[in-house]
Amino acid sequence: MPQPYNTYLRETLQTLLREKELERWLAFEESSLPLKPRPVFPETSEACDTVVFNGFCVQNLATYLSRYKGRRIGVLVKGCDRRAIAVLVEEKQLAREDLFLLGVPCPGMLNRTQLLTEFPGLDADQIAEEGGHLSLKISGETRTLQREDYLLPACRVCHHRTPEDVDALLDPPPLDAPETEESFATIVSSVGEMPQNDRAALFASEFSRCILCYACRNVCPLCYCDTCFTDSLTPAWMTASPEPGNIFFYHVNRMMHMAGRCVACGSCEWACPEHIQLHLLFGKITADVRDLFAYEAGIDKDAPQPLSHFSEDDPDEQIG
Amino acid sequence: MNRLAEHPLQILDAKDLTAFMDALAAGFDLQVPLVAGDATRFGPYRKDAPCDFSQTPPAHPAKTLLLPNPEVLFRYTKDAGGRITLSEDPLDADLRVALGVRACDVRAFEALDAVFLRRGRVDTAYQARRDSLCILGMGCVAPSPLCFCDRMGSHPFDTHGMDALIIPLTGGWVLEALTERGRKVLETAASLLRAASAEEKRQVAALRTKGRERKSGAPVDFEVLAGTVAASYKDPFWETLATRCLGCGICTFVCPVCSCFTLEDTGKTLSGGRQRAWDSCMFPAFTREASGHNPREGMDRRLKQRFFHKFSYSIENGEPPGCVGCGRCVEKCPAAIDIREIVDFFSAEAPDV
Ligand code: SF4
Ligand code: SF4
Ligand code: SF4
Ligand code: SF4
Repeated sequence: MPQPYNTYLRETLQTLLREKELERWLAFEESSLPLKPRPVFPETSEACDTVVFNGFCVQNLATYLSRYKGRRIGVLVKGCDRRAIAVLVEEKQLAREDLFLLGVPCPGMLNRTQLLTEFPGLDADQIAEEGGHLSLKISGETRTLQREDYLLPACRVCHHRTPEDVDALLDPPPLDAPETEESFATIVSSVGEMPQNDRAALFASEFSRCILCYACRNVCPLCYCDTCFTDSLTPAWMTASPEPGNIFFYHVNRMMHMAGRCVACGSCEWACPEHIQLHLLFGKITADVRDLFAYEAGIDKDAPQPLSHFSEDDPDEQIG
Repeated sequence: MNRLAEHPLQILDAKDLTAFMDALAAGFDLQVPLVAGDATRFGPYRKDAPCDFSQTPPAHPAKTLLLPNPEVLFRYTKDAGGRITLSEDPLDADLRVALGVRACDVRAFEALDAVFLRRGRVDTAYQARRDSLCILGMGCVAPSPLCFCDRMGSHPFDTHGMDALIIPLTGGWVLEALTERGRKVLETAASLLRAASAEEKRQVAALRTKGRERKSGAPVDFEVLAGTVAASYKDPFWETLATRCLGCGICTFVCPVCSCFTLEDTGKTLSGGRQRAWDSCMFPAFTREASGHNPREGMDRRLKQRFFHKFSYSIENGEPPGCVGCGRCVEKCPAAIDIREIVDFFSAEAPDV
């Protein structure tokens, strides 16, 4: 992102911090690692001076809001952060009026691992995000890449980049980057059309790498239970060791709890140390909930959540 | 005649690497860094399972060789008459050969030894695994930018605790036996080895010097660090980190030094067992008591525990420091919590530094 944009962003945060009497912002700053901005929680005008926004600000900031319940907090929200907050408000975990939401029209987040694998040693100052493309300066030469080829899986299929119902929206947007034509159906069919054996092999090779570190759960804005089923001792649904049964049980149950709630921000896949393709799971439940109930979490705010609501028209004849 | 004794530096040409591993695997339980996704993790050598010796360090720590996750402690069966039989798995006695272990992981073994062998009791299963492990270590010709072993009292070509050292060159590997056991293991593949040429010896010397001279930052004074960390319990610095820490298990599980575990019972009425599984002090359940009270309820307390243990308690107790500088947690932490920043912050805070 060009430096002037970060200056504009910082000035906006500073003004709003004062004018809206916010306790602090939730935003991003650069970290010690290239292309990996980290969450920052500035409480003063000076502290806002490190804030940045770019295509690597993947992590869903709504996750941190449970730590600030009842306080006047400003949040820089992408489309998916906003959707997660909508679900949290609907589930009575947060009060909308406590928050000041500054929307950023999101250009779609980039796949750090993919870029670093292709261009080892790539540093933040070697990459410029410009509209629909990325321009890389590598040993004196400029390489131009299509942004859409480097989007994270969740962002490739996202069609809610600009947050709705915010208190202020950054204008102009940081970038004018076009969306792709793809949708969750693309993900589902890419797996669904595989021969069964290949599909089984794909899931086995992905999930056999899971170390049950629960980063995917902890980074998720909607996994907020005080006691997760994974930690319950009475009954003990599962144990701690990363054995196939535990891994399978964990992921299937988490996904069942996420159906109709997951906002498809991709934070879980982004946080996974094993780069397990979790979008294959959340992509499927997102597509199913949409096909069966014409519902999108955090978008259809006036409709009841399909999986916690009884209706006589339920498509499943055993329920309806 | 003992060729390895006569010519300490032996060359294995790249084309013979598979034959070399086959030869070792024929005689020993050979453990190599196997490829899984974009990571490598030590596991038993198999002809059809790709391995990769270039990942520096391997994404998963070599502690998996000493602390399997899970590890069965005992099994039970109950017969029709209601008689219960308990059994333990036999201890690992046969020589296991680990190929390509890095200096940082070998250093970490010493920290694990302190926990499992030297706290007034001996974990016999751990000891059996440790004693039967022959370490064919590997020098790091291309450390990751996040490696900082040189600051933690070691360096990329540290041979401490290894039975042999491998130094990768462009055309193959240089092998140097360091112990009698290492020599014995390399002898089994002697027909594939040849003495290093003068030019190869020169290359090796150059690589070693470069490795020894690597300087990723100022060396850490652990006594000083232990003091400043011990005095920092109320320092707001921790709160800043805890605010963004997600409390996941990544840093613990990828750390070669972390060794905390939980016990779990598995199985049914008629058969089952008790096993030990890795746990993390970053999880709230790690210290939650039966009453529901948790002495480390807040993330800041859990985070402090992690680093106080590594840099304060271990030093106070005369044990090795809890960090060997492998950089794995730095690489993998989703919240970009960087242990190097912690080390720097508290090293700079020391009055005389
Ligand atoms: S983050 Fe990845 S490795 Fe950790 S529990 Fe989730 S899927 Fe498994
Ligand atoms: S420091 Fe990082 S890896 Fe460790 S628990 Fe916190 S978020 Fe997870
Ligand atoms: S604390 Fe981090 S850098 Fe240190 S040994 Fe453990 S994983 Fe490696
Ligand atoms: S920390 Fe040192 S020993 Fe470990 S992999 Fe890096 S360079 Fe090698």
